[in-house]
Amino acid sequence: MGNNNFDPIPTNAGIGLKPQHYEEILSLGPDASPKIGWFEVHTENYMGAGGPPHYYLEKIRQDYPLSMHGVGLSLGTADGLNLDHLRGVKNVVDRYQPALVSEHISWSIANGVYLNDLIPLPYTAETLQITCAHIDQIQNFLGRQILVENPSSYLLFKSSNMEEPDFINEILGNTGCGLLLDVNNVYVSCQNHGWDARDYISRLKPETVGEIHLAGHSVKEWRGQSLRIDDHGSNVCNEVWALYDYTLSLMGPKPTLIEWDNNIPALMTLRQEAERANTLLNRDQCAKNSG
Amino acid sequence: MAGLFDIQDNFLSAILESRNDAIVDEILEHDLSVGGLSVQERLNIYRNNTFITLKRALAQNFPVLCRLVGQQFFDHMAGEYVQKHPPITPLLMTYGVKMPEFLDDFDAAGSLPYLADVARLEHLWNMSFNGPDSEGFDLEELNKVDPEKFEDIILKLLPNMQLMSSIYPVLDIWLANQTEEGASTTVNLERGPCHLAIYRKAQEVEIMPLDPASHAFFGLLGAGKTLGSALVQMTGKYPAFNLQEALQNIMRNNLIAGFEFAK
Repeated sequence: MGNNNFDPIPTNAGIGLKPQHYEEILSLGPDASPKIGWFEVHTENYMGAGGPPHYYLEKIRQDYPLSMHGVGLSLGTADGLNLDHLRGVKNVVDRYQPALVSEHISWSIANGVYLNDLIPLPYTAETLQITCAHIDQIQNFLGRQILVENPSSYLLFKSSNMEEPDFINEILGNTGCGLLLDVNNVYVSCQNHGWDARDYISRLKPETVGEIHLAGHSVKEWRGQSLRIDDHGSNVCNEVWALYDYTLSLMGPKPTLIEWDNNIPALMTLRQEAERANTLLNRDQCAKNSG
Repeated sequence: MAGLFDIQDNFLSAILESRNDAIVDEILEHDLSVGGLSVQERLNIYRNNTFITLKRALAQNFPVLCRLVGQQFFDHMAGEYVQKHPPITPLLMTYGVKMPEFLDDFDAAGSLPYLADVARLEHLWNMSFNGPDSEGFDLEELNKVDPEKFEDIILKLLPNMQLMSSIYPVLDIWLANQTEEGASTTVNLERGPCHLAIYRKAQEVEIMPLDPASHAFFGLLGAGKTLGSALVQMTGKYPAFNLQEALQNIMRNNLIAGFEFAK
């Protein structure tokens, strides 16, 4: 117990930590099969001063590597980062020493109002400059590299004059941050905007990818056209598994998270999804080792 | 074409105030002849997502309020709250700090005058749940104090302790509405005012009803008064106040986090 405290995230599947599962995780212990490789939490959920969230995370942290995934820094906000929030993130990162810290290529704060959603950015030189400056500021303040996640979206801005994978590559090149490649987001956005998902993924640089996200989404029909909604409320669909398989074939195995934030199922369902990812990861691991 | 600041400002107006006119020009129109969504409908996805998730956060933070008014009314009320008081921080665990004053001015809730105080209690419960942990305190430390210095003691109660008073029996209302089944229980509003301490010792939040004098005493301690000066103020206002009993009550319930001496 406690020996893997500051280990990096292993190249296997982890799951998102939810309060509904705290007790079960503690009673299972870290060796229960199928084994849970690591946990990811939403940073903001552990930014209160004390109480049960910290009580449980302290315990679970002793047995599992941890990743902290933020939703509140609003990297693309035009009017500057919320420095109180950044200090709060630093406090919780210093406290739990997660192996990975990540955020999103999107915005959620304007005029000081937090919209609790990850809203897409216009892909312009101005946005690139603002987003990169914020990532530099965060990495300097935290004293570490962060990963940034590609968004899912339902609309595009007329002023965009860069394609999303190019915009992402520019960010990674300018700031030295890593990519949290959300394969479900790639699939959702490509379907919604008529882009080619395999082309999107093949334009990313494998060495920049520090983590992969897999999640479920829903499909809505509007006047004969379907729209994919990134709601993290169901199993990963077969199309996304296929795109994940393709991603691994290009990039080799990467730490992979099963994200499930709404209609949260039994822990066993998450462990089974993680096992499915592990099967693909192990296959690629073997191929890599023997090749 | 607008810069990023204006795009975000206009997007915010579209989401919170349904003022879409400025932002629609910035968004790519898809070919509607093949079906699919208009720009307005695409914006609506973001608006709905913001409102649904923030209303859900309020329902989580105010479960008893939600039971008292019913899901449908709560949904309507929470929507107005989000519009009037959108969050100004990404920490939603205590979102809704202005709910009591919002309810005071919310005409549709006028027939249930105690709602604002129930909301106050639920907010303080959240503050206590997420508030600082206490280290634990050994009462022996107090016994070692030289009796002559006793009145200079500044007693620190649990750092997550919150106090409130209401002219309504809000604790009874809160207790009766912990489950859906309980929501039909009748609470006698004539039972009148109550004074409460809300705190968390380990992982469970507790609510302790207090008599008016104890409530005032806890308030003086919370304000950092020494025992001596608290006693002077208490005996002026509550002639029957008994310091020893009050301290025993505090010690018996392990409400002390520590103490120091006035400089």
